[in-house]
Amino acid sequence: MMTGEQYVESIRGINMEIWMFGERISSAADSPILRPSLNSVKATYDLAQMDEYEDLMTATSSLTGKKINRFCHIHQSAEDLVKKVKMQRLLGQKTASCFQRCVGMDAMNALYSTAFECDLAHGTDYYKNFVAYMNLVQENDWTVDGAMTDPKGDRGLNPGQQSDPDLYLRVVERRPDGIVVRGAKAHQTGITNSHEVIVMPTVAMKPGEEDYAVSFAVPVDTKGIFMIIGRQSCDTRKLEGSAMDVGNCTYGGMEALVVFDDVFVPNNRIFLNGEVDFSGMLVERFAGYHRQSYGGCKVGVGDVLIGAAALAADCNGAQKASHVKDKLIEMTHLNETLYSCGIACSAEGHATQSGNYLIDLLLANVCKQNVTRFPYEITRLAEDIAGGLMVTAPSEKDLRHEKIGPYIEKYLKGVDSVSTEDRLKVLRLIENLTLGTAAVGYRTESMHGAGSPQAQRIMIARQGNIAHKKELAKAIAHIK
Amino acid sequence: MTVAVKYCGGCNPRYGRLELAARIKKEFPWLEVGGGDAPSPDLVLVICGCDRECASHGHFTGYWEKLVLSSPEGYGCIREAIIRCMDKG
Repeated sequence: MMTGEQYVESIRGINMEIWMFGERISSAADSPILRPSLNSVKATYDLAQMDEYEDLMTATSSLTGKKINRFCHIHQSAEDLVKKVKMQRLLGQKTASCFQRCVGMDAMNALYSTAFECDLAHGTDYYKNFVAYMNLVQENDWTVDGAMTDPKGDRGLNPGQQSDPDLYLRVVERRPDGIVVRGAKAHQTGITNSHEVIVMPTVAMKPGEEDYAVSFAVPVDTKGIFMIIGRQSCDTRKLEGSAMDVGNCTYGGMEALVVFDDVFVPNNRIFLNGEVDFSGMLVERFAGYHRQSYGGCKVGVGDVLIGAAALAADCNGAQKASHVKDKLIEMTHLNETLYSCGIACSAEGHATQSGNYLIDLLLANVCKQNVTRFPYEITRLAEDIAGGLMVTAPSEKDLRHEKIGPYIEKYLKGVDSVSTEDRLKVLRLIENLTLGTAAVGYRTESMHGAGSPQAQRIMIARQGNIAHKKELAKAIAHIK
Repeated sequence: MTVAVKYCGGCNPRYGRLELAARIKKEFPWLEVGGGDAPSPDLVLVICGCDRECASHGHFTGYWEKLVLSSPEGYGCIREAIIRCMDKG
């Protein structure tokens, strides 16, 4: 396994094409805007080296028998699925942000079983390709981006009906030695901090849409790939030189639009190529794993936000007020409910034909449906407890200013036992999580990441078995 | 005497797991305390953050004993185990 420092150097050594604010930048490692997101991924390497976390952060490879980072693991049991969620909660606690490495892990596990079953049905060689690829991932301890979301253009039209056929990533050329693909993937979390990218289709494809039913993996510096960084609320505060004003100066997340401009993929890196009947399975399994993930990562971030709200109450001298205690209880209740769903869908996991373990899809979708709601209520309660100062506090430069600094010290002080500076630090952290750069991950990603709310409702409807419930009611009511 | 300390992953610990290990080192400074994979320890301590006790420790064995703990109240048991192992050794 790589150490955190080795990981950072490995990313610095990749010649990615990254664009931000109209300019090409050399590496996330040396960008003040992106470096916090790299630090979050680095934490997945650092914690794996620590005795007190390695039980969650590492696993034994089913392919080689070696000790590997759990983010590179193919789940072998329901216990593995549970430990995955616990690991994600831990990392959310340690980074208070999206640590980005889950999406690749979820793509790997979805592809492992889908490629196996596709080969059984079609006589293809995708499973062999994928296992060989997983050996590389584990051996090199790579961070892998999982790219699913196409831009989608007109949502009322299928991929093949779009006025621009590239709005869903597709195969534009098939050669004896591989394929050439064109398109883009939107909202790619962690792409600048990844060694490789796994591409998957975004929806179940139908006959006639074979060019869109494609899955493969390539290095992120492959010719034709470039990344356009998405803005985050308050992002340029990181350029101002103030640790306090950014709220969380060490960790963060990042997203980008990734363009695949006629990218060549060799045959041994292809895991789906035209088998439309397996695109839906891949999408459903990836989404299921990723909806499970949110029952861990968002909970860990929620732990930090609850702690920050409790600290804000302490700073204000309001910690004994019954309504404040009750709000902290409510936040904890909501947060632990999310965790319960993450654990439940994992504990109810089962083996696939390939042998790896898949979560209970109904419970994973219920988990994510709750994630689209509860973080919003948790942030609302945190803002309630924090008070208006979290959005009206002056800058760190003002606090340090010779003339006006003492007035800020005097008038923005809470209880005597807490300095004004510490009070402002807590409020900035709450601001960061509720409406700053981290709100991208904690709020809107909770809404739309791993699928928007309606996507889960469709899955819940499909798996809910209302017919069975009707029979239960009939039996109790003696209706024949 | 060697003691191997194996931790759970610490996703939601109900107390300071590291503090428990630090307490052992403070009270018994002559003990050689290492990680869970220390070779041939006399005593293995599995320190878990909650009652779920989810640490994977089946393959860790102490020459004399193995103790699984999930609360700071278990410290007395650790003391007794250390003393028992010292008597045996």
